[in-house]
Amino acid sequence: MMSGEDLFRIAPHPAHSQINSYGFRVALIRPGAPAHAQELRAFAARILRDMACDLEARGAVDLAHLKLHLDYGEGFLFGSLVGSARSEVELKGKDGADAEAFGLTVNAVVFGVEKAGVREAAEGAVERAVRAYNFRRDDMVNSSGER
Amino acid sequence: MKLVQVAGYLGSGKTTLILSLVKELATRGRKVAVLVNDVGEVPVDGQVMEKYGLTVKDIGGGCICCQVAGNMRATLNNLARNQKPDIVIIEPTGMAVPSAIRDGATIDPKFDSLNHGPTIVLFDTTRAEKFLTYETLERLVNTQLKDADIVALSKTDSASPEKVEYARSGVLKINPKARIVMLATKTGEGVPELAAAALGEGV
Repeated sequence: MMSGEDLFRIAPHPAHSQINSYGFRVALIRPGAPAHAQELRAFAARILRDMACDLEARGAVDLAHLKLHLDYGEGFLFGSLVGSARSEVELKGKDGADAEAFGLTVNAVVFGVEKAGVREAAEGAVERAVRAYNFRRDDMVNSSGER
Repeated sequence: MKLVQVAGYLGSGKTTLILSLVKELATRGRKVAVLVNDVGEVPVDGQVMEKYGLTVKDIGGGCICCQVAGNMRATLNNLARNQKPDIVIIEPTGMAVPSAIRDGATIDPKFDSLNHGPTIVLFDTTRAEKFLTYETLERLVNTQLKDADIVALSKTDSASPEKVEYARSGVLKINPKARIVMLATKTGEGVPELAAAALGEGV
């Protein structure tokens, strides 16, 4: 049965062709070794840079907007990279106390790469950074509601 | 209730401008609500604004210029009925077509009347060449620029003067009637001018 919201949905505008996006949320933990704000900034920057390089290798014409949000207690961090892998990673937010657990939201919008490729690049960049920083994934939900 | 669109291609600085614009409008005594439509179904922009203390209505699940236009109307009705803001700033997805949003934005007259303010379209000067020359990308950006009352040339503090001039002349070829505003949100350049335009001053 269609919901009220579904009834409002119509086809995408033709101008949207070739732009694909993928997003997901993940909860990360590192019990016994809380991460400092500075480390989380480096972690966030690494994800964005790695994702950007991967997407360009897949033929991205424009990295329309790679964004992430990291949420930990009183602290938060927003990261953004636009244009190309050579662009500056912008980070802003408020430092919080060292954290053993935090939430990460990633949203990638790319011109010129198929959705499956955007997904692989986004998830791959997070996986590699998680391994490098010895974090562990606690839970993950993507934009299709898949866990 | 006045509707002001802050549109423009992805990554052009819409969220950053809105954070400054809302502050500027609040100091002028206006009650502002922000309606955000993020691409990717896992919204980040709304989270950014909420962290900075703004009241935000987030619409996900597609683009409000087409796929979920009905959700935009429902949200506008809800704002008109409950919060009653003076100004609603809409941040559409970076791939939205501003005229489609303008055409689709209506509210039930029993709640309020809708007054269309300017459509501000941001144009990222650091990516000007790509936007003005790459065929498929150019088509979308051109569509957005043609719909603008005001084109805010963004990130002018990160682009060379030659690049800014290249962007300005390129934009004016596409939309000769547009008012051009130089925008550097890091320094605040352009924000008071855009706030005045949102209020209908100096137009």
